[in-house]
Amino acid sequence: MKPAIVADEMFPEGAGPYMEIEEAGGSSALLMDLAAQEKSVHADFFNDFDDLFDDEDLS
Amino acid sequence: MANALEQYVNTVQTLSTQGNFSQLCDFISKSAEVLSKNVSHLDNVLATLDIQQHSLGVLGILCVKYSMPNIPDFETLFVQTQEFIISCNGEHVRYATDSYADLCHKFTHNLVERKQPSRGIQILVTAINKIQLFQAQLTSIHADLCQLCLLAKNFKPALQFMDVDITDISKEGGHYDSKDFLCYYYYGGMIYTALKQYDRALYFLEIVITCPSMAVSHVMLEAYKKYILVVLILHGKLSPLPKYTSQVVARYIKPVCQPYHDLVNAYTTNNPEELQRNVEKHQDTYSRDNNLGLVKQCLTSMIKKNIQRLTKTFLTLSLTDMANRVRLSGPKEAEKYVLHMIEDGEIYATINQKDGMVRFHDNPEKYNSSRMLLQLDKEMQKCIQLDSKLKEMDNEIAVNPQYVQKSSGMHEDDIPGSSKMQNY
Repeated sequence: MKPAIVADEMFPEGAGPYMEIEEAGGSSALLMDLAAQEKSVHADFFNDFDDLFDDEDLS
Repeated sequence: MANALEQYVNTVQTLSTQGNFSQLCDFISKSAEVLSKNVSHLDNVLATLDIQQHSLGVLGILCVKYSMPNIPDFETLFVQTQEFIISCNGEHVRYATDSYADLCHKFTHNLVERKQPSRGIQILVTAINKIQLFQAQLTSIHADLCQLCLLAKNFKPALQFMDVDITDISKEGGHYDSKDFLCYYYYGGMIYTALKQYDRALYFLEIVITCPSMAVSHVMLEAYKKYILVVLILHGKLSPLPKYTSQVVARYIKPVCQPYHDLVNAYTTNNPEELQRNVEKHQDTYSRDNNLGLVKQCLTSMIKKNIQRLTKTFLTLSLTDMANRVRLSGPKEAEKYVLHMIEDGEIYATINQKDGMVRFHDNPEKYNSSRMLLQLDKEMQKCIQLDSKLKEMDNEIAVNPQYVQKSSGMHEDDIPGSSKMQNY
């Protein structure tokens, strides 16, 4: 069963109809493609950390 | 101009005394321009205000000082911010959660720029404790704290917040941004990964990559790379993502993470040489993403999983034979792995130093001790609490007029209790 609408306060404009991840094609998928192509977001987010996971640094 | 500043002080003092904080917030936001034109006198204005009684007035001035293109004396501003966070009135500043959060963001930004992250950690801990309505409420300041903890390589102060599961998000006057949410869980995932709490790290990273999304977020992209590496270290294979994962992950994020998917494929061969070849092939990418350390941990985890697999076939095995089977350099290296794995409870075994034989044992836990029963009881209590919390949240959504309106396709006029209905 798929809920018709997603209510999410992070996305007041609505996240659009839910779709199965494997589902391909269809007009909704095309719209999503266009939306995603037009905007990639958070490119400026801070991610300038050293490699914090190198165990060889510890020895 | 001096009159304008005098008027600011007088109005702040009067409205604060009257307890008219909503009107005071409006006045302060309208005063930002006047304050920024008199920036050289702002320290004098601060001196006339009491942090506890006139918290909103002081907050307004600090925000203006941070918004200046150049901060001539950051040390003074640092001390003023510290004093404000420690002494401000929590009840008052809740009328301006957006400005309060903005102050913390700018404070963090300045410390990061000056490469002094550790100085801000304790101040942000106090800031969150002061503004949170309850422990399970997420604020946008959480991400700032995690960022400083990562930069300072001092993870413990963030754990007191990260160990509590979030059930609510502070709206911060409508200014809470999805980036703050994604960054909190991404940074949190990194902290748990650095502390080798992989299970919890995976949970945090999964929240990022399954967040409903119409656009490709770079936070999600980086979280997806780390998710793959952590899932290999913990489970040794990549399971399908939950069905509610947004399509952007499959369509745009997965295709640009090919070096990571190649690593998954190499891992499934259980052949360390194959994995090593893949690491060498994509080393530049992993290194550029600051993920090479995690990739190396994948290699160690594969060897450990291969040793664990041997325990299912053999009761005893020589260290030399083990080294050959899992392709280690020799019995010394095999012994090192076995000892670490025994220490971490990953296998149950003893090593006979005389003949270099490893004897594998069954799990000694019989699940009948009082300690274990207590543990089981605690876990069941957690499940019961989670269940009741879910029901409570579900009920809240079910009676939310906006949700009812959207899910049933009704117009606002039809909803009992809505403003239009009351007018009839």
